[in-house]
Amino acid sequence: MGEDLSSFLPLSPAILHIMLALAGEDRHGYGIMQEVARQSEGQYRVGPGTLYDNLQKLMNHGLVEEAYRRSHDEDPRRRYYRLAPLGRKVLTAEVSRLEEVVRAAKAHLRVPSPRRA
Amino acid sequence: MVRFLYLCLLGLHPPAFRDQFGGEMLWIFDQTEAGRDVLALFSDGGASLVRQWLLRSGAWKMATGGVVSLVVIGGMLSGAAIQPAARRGEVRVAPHCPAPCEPADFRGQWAGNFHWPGPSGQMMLTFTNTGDTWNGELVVQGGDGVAHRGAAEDLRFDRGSVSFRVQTAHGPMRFYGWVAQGKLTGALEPADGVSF
Repeated sequence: MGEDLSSFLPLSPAILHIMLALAGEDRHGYGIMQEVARQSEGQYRVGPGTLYDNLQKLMNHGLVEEAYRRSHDEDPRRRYYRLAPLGRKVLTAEVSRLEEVVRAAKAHLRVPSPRRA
Repeated sequence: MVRFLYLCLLGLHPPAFRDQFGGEMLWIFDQTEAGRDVLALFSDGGASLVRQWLLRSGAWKMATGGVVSLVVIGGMLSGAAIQPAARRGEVRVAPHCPAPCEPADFRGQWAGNFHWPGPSGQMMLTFTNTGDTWNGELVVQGGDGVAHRGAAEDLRFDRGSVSFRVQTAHGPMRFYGWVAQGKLTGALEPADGVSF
């Protein structure tokens, strides 16, 4: 039986960008912030407060988990996060939903305006 | 100096959040080049402080609970009688929800009394919204004084009405509630065979 992911959707912009940043590889908080800025070409930025508030929510819902990936020379305050399997499914569902939105938007924008008789 | 101020800002966050993420937030602050984005970091930190205390820490729940308790005690002291519900299984809970009652207005605790075949008692509904997800909990305290808790499953809001499924000692039940004159009134019915 498939999981019901609809309760997670739609994702807020901050959540969507954070999950997208984690989709490729595990990242620490600062890395997530940089990746979000890079993906949006600097148009969308998350601060640490917004980032960790959303990370807390994502971890509470099992969408993101901490990745234990530390080396001895790293700052102990730096922690890595990864997209959990459920998070990947939710992100995939959100991308599909957004594709439908874009498809519908394009279809509506193509509708010609009525001509006058 | 600026770092010290940011440290103070982090120190004002709720302990649970501060312990979990404070070190990382300070590390990010240290990574930020001196003078660059510092204002944005303080702005974000201030917003985070308000958000964590008002929305995440549960402090507002305690405040709401305190106000509701005072109102109930005040009502009892003034001799106000609690009107029994009109029919069996009916639930009547307060406090206010302004009209038109939007889904977001359900957030918080709704405390009141219930009337059920058998002994009546106190009940409390808690609806929380964590960004995109609604969660609910039903706590019923019957005549035996024992608090029975149940998670509200399949929670649905439609403007002034709410419904959810909850497991009870009598099997799965569904609560249907609606807001009228600022009060949430509803009924628990067996979930099986009920369409909504």
